This record gives sequence, C-alpha cells and structure tokens, in this order.
Amino acid sequence: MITHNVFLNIKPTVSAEAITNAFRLLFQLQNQLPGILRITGGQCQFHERKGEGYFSHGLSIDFEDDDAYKTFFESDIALPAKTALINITVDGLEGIVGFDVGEFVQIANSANPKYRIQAPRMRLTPPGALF
Amino acid sequence: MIRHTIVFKLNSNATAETINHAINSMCALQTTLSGIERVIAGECYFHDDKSVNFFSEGMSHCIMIDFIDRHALDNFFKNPMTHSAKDAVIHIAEGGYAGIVGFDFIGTNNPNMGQGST
Repeated sequence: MITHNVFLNIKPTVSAEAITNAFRLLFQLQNQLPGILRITGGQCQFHERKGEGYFSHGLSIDFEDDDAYKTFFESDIALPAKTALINITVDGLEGIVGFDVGEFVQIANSANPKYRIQAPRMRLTPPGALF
Repeated sequence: MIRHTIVFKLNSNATAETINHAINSMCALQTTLSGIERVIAGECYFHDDKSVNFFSEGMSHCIMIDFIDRHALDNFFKNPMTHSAKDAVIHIAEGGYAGIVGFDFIGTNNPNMGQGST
C-alpha cells in the first residue's frame, strides 16, 4: 500500500462552497479509479497549535499498489479534482506540497547530496504529474 | 473515520532498533486499543524539491492512525495503555515531544467513509 499525502493553503477569498466542491470531486475518485482504498482530507486541525500555519488543508489517499498510484497520476479522470484543488490553493500548483509513505518498487536516488545527508528521501512524482 | 497524523524528524541517536521498536509499538495498538482501524507508519518520501524544502527541516517520518470515530481518537489521547508506544516515538524524535507535530482533517465528509470522517 502507498499513502499519498498532499498539503495546501487555501486562498482566503475562496468560498466554503468551492472548498466543499473540490473535496467532493476528490472523494468521488474512490469510485472512479481502481485501487483507491480510501481518501480522507479537509481542514487541518493541529494539536497543541504545533505546526499551525504550515498549511490549512490536506488530503491523504491510500492506494492498493503501485499500479493504482500510477493510474491516479496518468488518468484524465483525476483532472477535475486536481484542477479544483489547484484553483483554490494559494500559488496554485506551486503551493502544493506532499509526501508519500509506503513501499516502493523504485525509489529515486537523487544526485543532489542534500538528499543523501538528510534523512528524508524523495519519491518523485511522475514527470508532468499535477500532484 | 478520522485519520490522525503525526510527523517528526528522527534524532541523531535513533537506531534501526529504536525506530522499529517505536513503529512496531504504535502498530501494536491496533490490537490493544479499541476503535483503531489501521496504523500506517514509515519514512516520508517527498514529492518534489519544494516539498523537500518545505518539510525536511522538521520531519522525516510519519505515523498515521485511522480511528473509527472521535471517541476512539479521544481514547488514544487519554488512555495510559498508549504511553509506552508514545514514549518510544518521543525517544526517537528530534526535540522529543516538542518536535512532534500532530493533526487531523476536519470540516469535510467523505461519503465513502464512516461517520467519523468529518
């Protein structure tokens, strides 16, 4: 299983309706794409205020395997949900960050020594992938 | 369902043994504490350069716990049975307890999930 986590700050001018719609489109993907085990997301409630301000919202998608993960990035079916989330995010796609947790067939070995020194590793999303 | 996520960066004293102990202890809560659907834990793999720049100063590992509802999450916070697992995570986190960030998702309702998804 691969868990795909995405975080964003929603523009202050965005309506509650637009936020609800974006997440509704996201949640619908569970019924539209194969291999999605579950999707959860929404406003981030930080405990003890630690981390508050890093981002306002997030989402977490559990994929059954690498094929399901790949489909999420390649299928046009996911585009309306991704576009809706990008449109409500501060700085759009550039404002979206994230990480995955899980076992991977291939893990990108960056040539940048920065990534070898720090404990975190990169699992690059496919070229051209929205998120 | 409520997904409770905690993120932290490993401290320099953490070993493979203490990391495994911490993660295994958290995963074992599935069998000892009621209302836990699953525990997902491991190293974070960042999506791109901007994600590395954003997160890597403060986190390297993540533990996600899915609770059936708010009551189960509250039990996780208050039940002494969780203390040893939490202590094991604090032990490997840079900055100890202060270095751990926890959050949940609220304000949405995924119709595919249980009532606790708000």
